[in-house]
Amino acid sequence: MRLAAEHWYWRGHRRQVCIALVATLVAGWPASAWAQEWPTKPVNLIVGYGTGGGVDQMARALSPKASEDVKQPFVVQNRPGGGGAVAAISVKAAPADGHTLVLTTSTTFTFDHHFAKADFTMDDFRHVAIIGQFQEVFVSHPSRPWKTLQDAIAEAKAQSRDLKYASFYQLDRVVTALLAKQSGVKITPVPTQGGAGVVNAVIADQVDFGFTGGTWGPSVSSGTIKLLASAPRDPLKSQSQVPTLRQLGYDVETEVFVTVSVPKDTPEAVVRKIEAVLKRSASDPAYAKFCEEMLQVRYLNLGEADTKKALLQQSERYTKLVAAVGTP
Amino acid sequence: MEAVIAGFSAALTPSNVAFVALGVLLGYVVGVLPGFNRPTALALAVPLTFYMGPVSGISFLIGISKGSATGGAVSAILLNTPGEASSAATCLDGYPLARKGRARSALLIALVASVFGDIFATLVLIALAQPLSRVALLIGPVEICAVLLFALTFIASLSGESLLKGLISGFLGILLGTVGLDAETGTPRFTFGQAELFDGLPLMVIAIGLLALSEMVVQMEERGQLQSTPLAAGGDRLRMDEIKACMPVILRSSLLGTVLGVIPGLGASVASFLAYSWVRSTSSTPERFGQGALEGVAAAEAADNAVVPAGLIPLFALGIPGGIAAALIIGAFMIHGITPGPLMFLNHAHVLNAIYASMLLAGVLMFVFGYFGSGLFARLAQLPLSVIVATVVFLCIVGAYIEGGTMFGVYLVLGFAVLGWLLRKFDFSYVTFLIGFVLTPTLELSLRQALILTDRNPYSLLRHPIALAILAVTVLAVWRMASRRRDVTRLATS
Repeated sequence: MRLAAEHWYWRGHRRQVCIALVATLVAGWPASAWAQEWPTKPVNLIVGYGTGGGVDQMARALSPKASEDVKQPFVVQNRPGGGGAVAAISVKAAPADGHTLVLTTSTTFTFDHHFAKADFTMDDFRHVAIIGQFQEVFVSHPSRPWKTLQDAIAEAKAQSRDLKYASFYQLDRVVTALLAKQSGVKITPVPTQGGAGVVNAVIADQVDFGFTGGTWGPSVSSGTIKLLASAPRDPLKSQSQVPTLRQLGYDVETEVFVTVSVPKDTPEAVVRKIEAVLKRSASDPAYAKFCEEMLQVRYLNLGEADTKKALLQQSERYTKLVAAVGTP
Repeated sequence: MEAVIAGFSAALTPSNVAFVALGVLLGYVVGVLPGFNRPTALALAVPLTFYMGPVSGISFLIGISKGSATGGAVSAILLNTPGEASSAATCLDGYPLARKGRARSALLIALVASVFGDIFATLVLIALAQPLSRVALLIGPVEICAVLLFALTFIASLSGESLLKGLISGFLGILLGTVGLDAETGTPRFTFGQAELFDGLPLMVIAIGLLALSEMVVQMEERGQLQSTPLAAGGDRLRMDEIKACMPVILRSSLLGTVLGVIPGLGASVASFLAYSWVRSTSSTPERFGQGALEGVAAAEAADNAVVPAGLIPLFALGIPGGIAAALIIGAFMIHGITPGPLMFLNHAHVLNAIYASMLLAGVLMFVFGYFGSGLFARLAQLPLSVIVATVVFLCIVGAYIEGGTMFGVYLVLGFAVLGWLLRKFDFSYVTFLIGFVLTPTLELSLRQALILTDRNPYSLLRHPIALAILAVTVLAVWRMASRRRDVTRLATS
């Protein structure tokens, strides 16, 4: 673990720099004749969440790589609030010259507007990269007799009682509303303060189970909580034996990417450069290792075309999901 | 005993001492400066710990936490600007002391209380982490809700001359504490479509506007009479008997801070305000508070600092992250292949003992840095007031910009400066306002959690004896305050 960290921060980047130079010479040279130079000054990486959280740590892991690549500092600035909305609004208003990027979760653009409308839409940005995906899970106190979420729901059904769970935010409420609809068991969310609040409530056994996308790894490996199900389509990277919601027969999934976006009027050539820099920076195996081992985040490294497609699909899916269960 | 000695010998290596000292110093500076807060400092420091050993790494982070809790008092006392949100309660009596020419005494009593609270809670952590963490598990939303309801009764005793005015500003604080997305439904409340308000109004920005900036406006109104703070007669010395007089307060507040710190999710701001309110409302001379009472500073600081080590109790014993700072410390443990939780006491006892020793060392270093720092900083109070006003206004605006993230923070701080000025002009209590505002978000969340968990059935409260006991005390407190007030009015009219 410690070695990995050293690897990540200390290692030389000769190879990447060489590739970068060659790439610039081959591809960038003719382009730069007419395109704006980028970057001509430090690049602001505006993070939609507070310091110390998973999104912030990914930004801070990536920025030294990117800084070294372009020979200009990538400055991480946290502008938390409204699930990334505050950061998105401020970047929307920033000059579209590629020196202000917003790093937040895909739900900022694809989901949150169903509940609290903010002054921007997905189309105000060009979404340049996906650099990871959170792996949301259902967890319970180890003393509960259940192996999977299905057992919990079956027990509640047999005893004709409700289930109460520690909720992370609106996304899980929509998901559990659908689970309730499909299973006929009432599932009541108990709001908590962030991912830590969920883990607290589960460890103290105040609720039947909890939903969290945050760092559940330490508590699971120390045995103070156990995994009942994972919510994304693909099984967990580290614990593939844990069933997904789909494997348990529920027709629903969560999908929360970590994305990097720029204002929509950013020149094409600059967008290409940003995309290339992010792609190279996130290619470092130490970054992947950091995401998966420290944060339980699935490592992804997608460019603009894939990101755009993924976000459009996600937006459509969430719209359907919300329509199916209705907003509270 | 052997374990303790082994812990100290592992902690007292030159490099470890250096890292702890660096952490405390860094934290102290971050604490002094409004606008730089603890989570930010920790987030920036975590990558550095990758290259340290586990003991140095964790101690470095804990040193930052501890140092920032101590440093926050400095700007609170000298400039009426809380360096950390949790030192807002320190302003209430610290700044009046500084205006009276007793800046150094206020800084020293704050330091004594901080270090005492810190070391007290650290010793509790060392001795009782495991049993206490089990007690913490019994404290759920129902109990937290009862505690906070009880805390709200302090509004009445802190209202000063007019209960009605105290209640009005208290309720204004409560009302503003409800701004943001509804916890249960996600419905925006009083946000006027501003995404900046979705997560509620930031305490730090409000405290800066209400306390510091509005005070500067009041000072500027006395134009022409701007002069530096007079030195207290015979110089400003903190007398031994004053420290002695504060000791019971410090002990009580350290205890309160430790108890509240163990409960995940309450936090240092709630603890310091509660300690202040408790001491003020049980004092035999409550009228001295707000005018520069050393006890007020001591209470707020002891509780504020006790929360930091106490907050590590559920973290170490159960792996429960109480907040973002704790989550970062868990991350730092994980880097070194240690998972916080019950097994850590078995598998990594030697690391833990060395961390304990480093924490005590950090307490001592806090005192050393704070002592020299207070001598240095106290001289600031003798600067011409025109310089102080200009500096504070600058710090307020910059701090609000950084805390708020955007210009929005600056507009907010200006708005709350106006509100604070109005409260002062019309003699409404800003203390009750702040208490209402600080308690409301946690109170509301725990109330709604409690309602869901108890199925909105009052009889299920019977399964929560601790909560019932606290509620009974609350009713008693209200009744006593009401009857006392009746007596006072009867005396006044007769």
